[in-house]
Amino acid sequence: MSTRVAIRFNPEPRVRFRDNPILIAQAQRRLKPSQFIPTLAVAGISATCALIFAVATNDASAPKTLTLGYLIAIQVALLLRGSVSVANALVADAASGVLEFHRVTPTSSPTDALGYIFGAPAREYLVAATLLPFTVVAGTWAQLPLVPFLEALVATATTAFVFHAIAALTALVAPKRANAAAGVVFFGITAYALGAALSEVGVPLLAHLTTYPSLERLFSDSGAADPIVFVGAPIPSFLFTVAVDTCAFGFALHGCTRKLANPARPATSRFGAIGLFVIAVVLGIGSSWTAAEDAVGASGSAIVLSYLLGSALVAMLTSGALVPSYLAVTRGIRRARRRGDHVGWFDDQGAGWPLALGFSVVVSGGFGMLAFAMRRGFASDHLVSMNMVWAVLSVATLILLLTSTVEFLRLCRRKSLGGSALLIGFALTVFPLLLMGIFSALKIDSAERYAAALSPLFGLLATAVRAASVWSIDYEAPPFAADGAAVLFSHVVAVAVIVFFQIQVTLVRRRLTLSLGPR
Amino acid sequence: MSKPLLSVETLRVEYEDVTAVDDVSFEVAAGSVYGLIGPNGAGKTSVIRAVSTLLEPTYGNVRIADVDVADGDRAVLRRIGYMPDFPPLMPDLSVREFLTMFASAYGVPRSDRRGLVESLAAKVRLTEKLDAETGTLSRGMKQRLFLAKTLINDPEVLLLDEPASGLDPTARRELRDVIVELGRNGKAVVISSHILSEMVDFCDSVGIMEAGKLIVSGRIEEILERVRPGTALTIRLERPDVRLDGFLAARPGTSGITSRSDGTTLTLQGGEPAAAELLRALIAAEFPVVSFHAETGDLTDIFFQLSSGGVS
Repeated sequence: MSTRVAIRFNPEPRVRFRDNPILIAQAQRRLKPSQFIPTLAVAGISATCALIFAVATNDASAPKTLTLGYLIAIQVALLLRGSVSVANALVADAASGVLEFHRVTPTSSPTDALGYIFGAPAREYLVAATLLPFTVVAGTWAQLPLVPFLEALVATATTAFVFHAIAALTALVAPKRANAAAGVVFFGITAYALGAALSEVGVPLLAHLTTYPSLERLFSDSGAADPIVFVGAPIPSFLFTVAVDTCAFGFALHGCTRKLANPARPATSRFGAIGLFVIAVVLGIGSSWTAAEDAVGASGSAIVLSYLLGSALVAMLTSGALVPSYLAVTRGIRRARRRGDHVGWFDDQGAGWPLALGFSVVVSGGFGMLAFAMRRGFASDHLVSMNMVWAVLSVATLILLLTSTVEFLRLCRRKSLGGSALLIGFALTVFPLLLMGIFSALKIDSAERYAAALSPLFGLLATAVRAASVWSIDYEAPPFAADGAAVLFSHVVAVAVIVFFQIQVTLVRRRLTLSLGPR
Repeated sequence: MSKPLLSVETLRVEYEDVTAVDDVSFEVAAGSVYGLIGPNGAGKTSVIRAVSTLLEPTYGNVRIADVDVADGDRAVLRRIGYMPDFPPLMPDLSVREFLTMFASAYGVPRSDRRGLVESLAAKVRLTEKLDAETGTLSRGMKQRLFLAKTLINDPEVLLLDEPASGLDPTARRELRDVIVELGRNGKAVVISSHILSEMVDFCDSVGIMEAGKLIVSGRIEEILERVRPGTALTIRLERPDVRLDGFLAARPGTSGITSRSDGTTLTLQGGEPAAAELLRALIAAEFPVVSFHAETGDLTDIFFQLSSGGVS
């Protein structure tokens, strides 16, 4: 047996980019000469042929078309193929168990995440680097303006980082090869198609997650960029793209870091989720400021309804997804006990209501911001009014109700979760409608309304419609007395259910705390 | 026992619907090889994963030389080496690249990595395979490569989950030699297995697990003494002697005397001195003794006496 050399260890920094072991190993994997040389040869030969063809045709539009073609090829390589490579690398390492070994080495999870995000697409970076000189030549030939050209290249890089980070997060959240690859492709198509469509109607946020605005600017006839009007102030579109990409990359990296450190944890902390929601709401409404200011009549109502229902839905789903399982709560209480502390409101294993309340505040704040932007379109009411208060209250109630229901199911009905969920879902949505149908058939109008109000959804929809009616010139909101009592009844039912679930959940948490003892 | 290097106290590991490990406590001193024995599903892997920090216990503590692994200090990870039953490799990396990646991950300075990787490859006899892709290695070679990876940080505590599963007899013997040497070098080694014969080769202490519980834990000879007080003796005479049963029954500390055609068996209290004294007495009484055999017992006896079986 040979003699061992004495081992020295460097202290581990919080984040390692240089000498990142995973980045190097992933690059080594992807840059085996037998694999990358044919790829580069195909890319280089194709690009050369395209250049020769464009020169030979001598068409006036050829230089621009050629530049666009090269940029699209770079983006397909980086955004699509690169993202799939990241997802595949993580899925493979998760399946084989290699990820677990990175978890028990002293490298930090941000180091690991950066290693995968920047190491796995090494071959695609090389393809992009091969195509870049051709792009520069074509761009120069097309006499494209330098600044938008450079901005398009930078936007391509930042968008690639975002896509790769989202691909990594997708692979860690849905660790099956097919799911991860499908998730990446779905995200890319959605971001480009929906982003472009929304951009056309004045909501440009999603489009700025892609290279669409920078390419549009580069190839526009004027060559000038339309600035984004953000909360009334114009800012360069490119800067907004970089800001959006930075936020998205930061969030995806945060998620990857958490999942790599402990796959049982949710992909985001509570603060992270609320923070992302705040950023999305502020950037979304802020960048749609002009469209919001110009909205009147039916379009104003549609915007408000879309915002209220959409944001409430996103908040409910996120809040529900972040409700901890019984086991997570147990471990959280134990961990807190070891530190001589209690589980905090915003700890992963904390009670659900602070999270729901946080989301409610963000949805309400966003609504206030939106209403302020749309103040010129007020037709029949004021910003601070009974309708607005009801809208905000009903959103908060609904988010709290869903979060409490999920928490109740996970902590108190974990052994019969499916059946209990079905029963509660039926009681809160379908049953009131059935009852309403019966009363309707019996022609008992007042009972019909109260039967519907047994469902908390009634309260939200009724109040959202009332709030939206503020912008509707033709539609006058019904006086509160007309259905106000039923709306109130709907909220009382929701609050009663929330209180019941919260009592049950608190009892389970207390029992767990006692059973785990002092340590 | 010297001060334990690894200490597991009242460990409980739960999954959503199942308690995999319940109230498990044991200690492993430096230089000791501790075997976790039990049938599949007994909770051995969960214990090892909890010790290696891959699994968060619901309750209990794991300490490496007084440092609680749950305190979040990642430096403690340098003191642990973990090898699972199916070592994961990255098939398109070479042996050198694979080991270098982990050397870098453990913070070995760049200038030292080459020497370290080569010395480890030599230790597990993979020097010729340093530039081969790990996917091309045989099962035994992969296992040895992973052992080299496990040793890369020179860990004080080694956690080996079914390390010999799937190995041929030669590879198994080589692995045994390496593990025994690691124990001699002062490492605290924990090995899990459901194959008793493996553990006899490796271990000086054992813990027997069943349905998540540790039924018994300690040094093999101490457990033997505890579970089966007295020495099992088999006496064979040149020719049958009707006096033998009466003679043995009259001796102090004897019990369970059974005569068969192939000899007489009995249990004797008092250990080896009492056995020597009995042999002297038999010869003095002119019994024609041709064989006097003390059954020391082994892990198999312990296991089957304490558990409901399930191991091979």
